[in-house]
Amino acid sequence: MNEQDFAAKVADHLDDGTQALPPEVLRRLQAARQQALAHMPARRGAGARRGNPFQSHWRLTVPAFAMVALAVGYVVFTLTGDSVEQAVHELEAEMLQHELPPHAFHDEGFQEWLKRNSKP
Amino acid sequence: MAEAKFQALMRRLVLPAALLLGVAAAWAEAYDWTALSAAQQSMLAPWQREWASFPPERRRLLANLAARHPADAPQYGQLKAEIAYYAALLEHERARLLARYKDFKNLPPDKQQEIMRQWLQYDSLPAEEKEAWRRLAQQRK
Repeated sequence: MNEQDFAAKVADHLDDGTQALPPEVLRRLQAARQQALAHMPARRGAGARRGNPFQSHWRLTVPAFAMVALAVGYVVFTLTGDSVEQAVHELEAEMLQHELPPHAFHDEGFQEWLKRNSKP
Repeated sequence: MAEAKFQALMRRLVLPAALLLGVAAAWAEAYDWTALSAAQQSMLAPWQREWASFPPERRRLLANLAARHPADAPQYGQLKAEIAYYAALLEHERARLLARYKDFKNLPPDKQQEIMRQWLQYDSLPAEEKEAWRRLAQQRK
């Protein structure tokens, strides 16, 4: 028996029970039901403001804020990266297109030559 | 009332954020190896295997450097050889090279010119003589 079958059986049983009630009791139950229904919209609104935040717009806005924060973080990281690392990459690209070739800065013999030739 | 304002604010935030995300993703993809021209790929070939692991900014700078030197440009071959030389260096060798370049850049222009003149002289030496200078540098260490 699934949940729906069980609920239908409970409802049938309750309906059978109400037929056995005296008319005065039925009338009072009907009046109480009407009164309860009349208060429902107001209670629902108040409950939403006081109760579980996930019953309200927070259910949508919390993930939305998280998505926005992630997007901004990703964009900032992608577009800027680490500034020290970026400076090294800029230096590398600049060095590669300089008139002096990379091996001029790597050749230890040239460094020695420079030291010798810069002496007075 | 407050809820409506909040939802309107969210609508205004979510769309730009999604657009930014798209732009960033497209920007990162723009320097994908397969998006480079044949001439760029040929020049940057020493880095092909590790290209995807480079930060987007490094890919952008290197791809633009290669793009500024098309295959028919006079310096194409020279730059390609220099990239091959530089890419073959070990990490610490590249770091030392860049540190020396940074020092060079900070020199006054006349001193930079002097070093460039010295390089031309040194580079024109016979290979054996350059090797002798390297041995001398080795002995000093």
